[in-house]
Amino acid sequence: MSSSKPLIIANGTLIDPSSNTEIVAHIVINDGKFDTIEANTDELHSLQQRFGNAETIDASNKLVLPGLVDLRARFREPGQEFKATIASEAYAAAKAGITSVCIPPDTDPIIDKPSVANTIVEKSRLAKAAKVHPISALSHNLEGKMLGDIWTMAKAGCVGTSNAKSEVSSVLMQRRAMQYAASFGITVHLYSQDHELLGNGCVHEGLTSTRLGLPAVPSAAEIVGLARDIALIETTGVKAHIMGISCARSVEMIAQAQQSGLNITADVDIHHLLMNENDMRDFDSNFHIQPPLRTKNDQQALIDGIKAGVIQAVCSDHQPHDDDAKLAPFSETEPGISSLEVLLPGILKVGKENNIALQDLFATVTNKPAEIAGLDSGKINKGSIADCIIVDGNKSWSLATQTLSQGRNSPYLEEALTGQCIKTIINGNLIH
Amino acid sequence: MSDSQLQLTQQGKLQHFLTIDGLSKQHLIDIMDTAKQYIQLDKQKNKSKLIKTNVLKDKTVVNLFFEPSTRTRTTFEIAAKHLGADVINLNVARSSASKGETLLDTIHNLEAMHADQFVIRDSNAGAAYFAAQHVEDHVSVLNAGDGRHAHPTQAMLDMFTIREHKPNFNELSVAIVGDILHSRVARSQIGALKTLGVQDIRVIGPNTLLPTDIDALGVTSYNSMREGLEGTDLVMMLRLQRERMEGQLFASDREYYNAFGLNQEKMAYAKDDALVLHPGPINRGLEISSGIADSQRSLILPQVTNGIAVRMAIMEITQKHRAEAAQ
Repeated sequence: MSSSKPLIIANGTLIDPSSNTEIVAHIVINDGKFDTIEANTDELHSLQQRFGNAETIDASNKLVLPGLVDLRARFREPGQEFKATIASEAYAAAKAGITSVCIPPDTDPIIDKPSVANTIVEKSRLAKAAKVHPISALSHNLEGKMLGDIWTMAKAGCVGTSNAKSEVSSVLMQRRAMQYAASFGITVHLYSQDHELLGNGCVHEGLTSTRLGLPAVPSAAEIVGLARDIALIETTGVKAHIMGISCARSVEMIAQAQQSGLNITADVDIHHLLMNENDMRDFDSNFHIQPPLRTKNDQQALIDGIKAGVIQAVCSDHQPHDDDAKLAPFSETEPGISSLEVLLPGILKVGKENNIALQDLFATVTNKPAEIAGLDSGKINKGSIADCIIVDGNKSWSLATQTLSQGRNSPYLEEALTGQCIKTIINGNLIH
Repeated sequence: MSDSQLQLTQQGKLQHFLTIDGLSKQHLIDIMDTAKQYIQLDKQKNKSKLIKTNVLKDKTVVNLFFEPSTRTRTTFEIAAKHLGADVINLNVARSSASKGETLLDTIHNLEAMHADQFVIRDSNAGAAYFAAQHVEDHVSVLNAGDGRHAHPTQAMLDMFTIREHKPNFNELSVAIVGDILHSRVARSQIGALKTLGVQDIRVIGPNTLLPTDIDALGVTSYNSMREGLEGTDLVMMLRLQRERMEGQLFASDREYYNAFGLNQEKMAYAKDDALVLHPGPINRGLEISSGIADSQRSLILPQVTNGIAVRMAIMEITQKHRAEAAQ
């Protein structure tokens, strides 16, 4: 797929964490790739002459970033098209600045056959929007009892394997799955939780659960699950990625595991960086997420984990729902927030409030997650595939009027957001 | 919006009764004062008697109970009838697994039958709050217990009963004993006691029955009856909510009774004139000895009568303010 005519992005502030670059430059995109990065801004005219039919986009006072890479978003297709579709969400993602998305295997049917993976990729290709990368099912029916065909699925293009949020039946099975994945160098995405301790909890065990009387998830669910998984990662040598950590103690444990040389990475969803349990409006089901919002101390530790590089990636953990899914007493509602469009303004807010250098901040949504998923994207270098976005870092807007995702389930609807993607280029094509 | 805001009109008047949280001392006093008017002492028989009125004439009160209840539902029914309302009782089996009619559909259906007030009990925390968010403008919602969250009418009848005997809330030391973790009653009692000015509130139980961070509610937790009851004016016992327990949370009934059951010996740790409350139904020989439950120090039976008067007051107040606000 290549662009019909070249594009010149002129005078933008280019930030490329992969090469530690932050310069004002002109970027020429030709034939689907980054052709030229010209730091001498006096050269615009000569570039325009060289690429005679090029379209020039003025990006003065704007940021030019690699297209964002989201390690976890549910598009609900196949199986729950009444909530959202690949077409609707891939376009919403692209518009929000996300150019590559990894899809967990808990679709219906689950992603356990090449035909399912291929259908998802093909549908996203037809949508001419964000690129979609399936993650394969670690076990049959995600029941955690028998191994899925993860080698076959890796060959079919899956960028990792995972049991999503479902329990692996035993420690023995978990160990075998890791041994097996390690044989082929496949990254295992782990939801490190002790499911017995998770129970039917829906809010953090602490002040909120005590005050509202809602079933609780103790921090111990994550800490115990993670301790078990780290022990297995150590003994199997598998490449492991921990999904959506929520506790301060988890950050310490992962840091320690990384220091001792284990092949372990981690991500956090944007909500746990933006909110803690005190931000919940009583019984508002839009705040129902798994793992639950935890304490202010946990929130700060996760932000510090980003700063220290212990947590490599921030993802949207996008989960669009139909209205009925949230229209019930809190504990009966389905967890998850529709959040593709919150990732970019969210990460900008976290960076600003915590003085995180832009390179470090954007690394968590570009080159670092791309490395975890083994994708050739998330960077702006000469010769690489041209996925990039132009961002107005100061633009104020609100989701209330501009949500594109089919999911309206969001606690951020009324909030003023700052920072918006104004142009998205995927494979050298201007998407919007 | 928190449930405390939802239950008040823009003028700050009570229009639903969902939780004690966020209510002022005056709100609680108004309820108790109104309830007081409905109780008359029959001096000849030395017994209290309930007064009947017609303030809810032509109104329909629906008792919507998604959890089994005899006592609470009956007292709400009697209260509504004493106010002249028509009463419909619905006991509905509902579980998230059964995927039957949703709570919202049930409420809308009953509204279409011209209900004016819902009294709702459900196993989900926040159920009454959810209902209050979705009912029509003239309909008020009373929480008769939602999961582990709140049981505010029970707390108010307890406060009413306490006030009859020990009116100076500021000076009281109160211990709440037993299964605090699963108890919506305890959460509402703590809220009401604090709002009325009680400084010293203690909760007593094994850690498996105490919620995490309970101290953040402004109470002190104890694992020993001897230490926890020391010098208290009131002992509020709770029922062991076995229907809500998942797995084993204490060793054996015998051990529980020996460690946390209230008997004469443990009662001696409290002040000499200390009184005992229990929301019922009581488990004799598990939470409380018959010697205590049937003694002069027990307020368990007066609690039941007071419960009707307090529920009458709450029904009247909320219905009046809801109707005013809807105009």
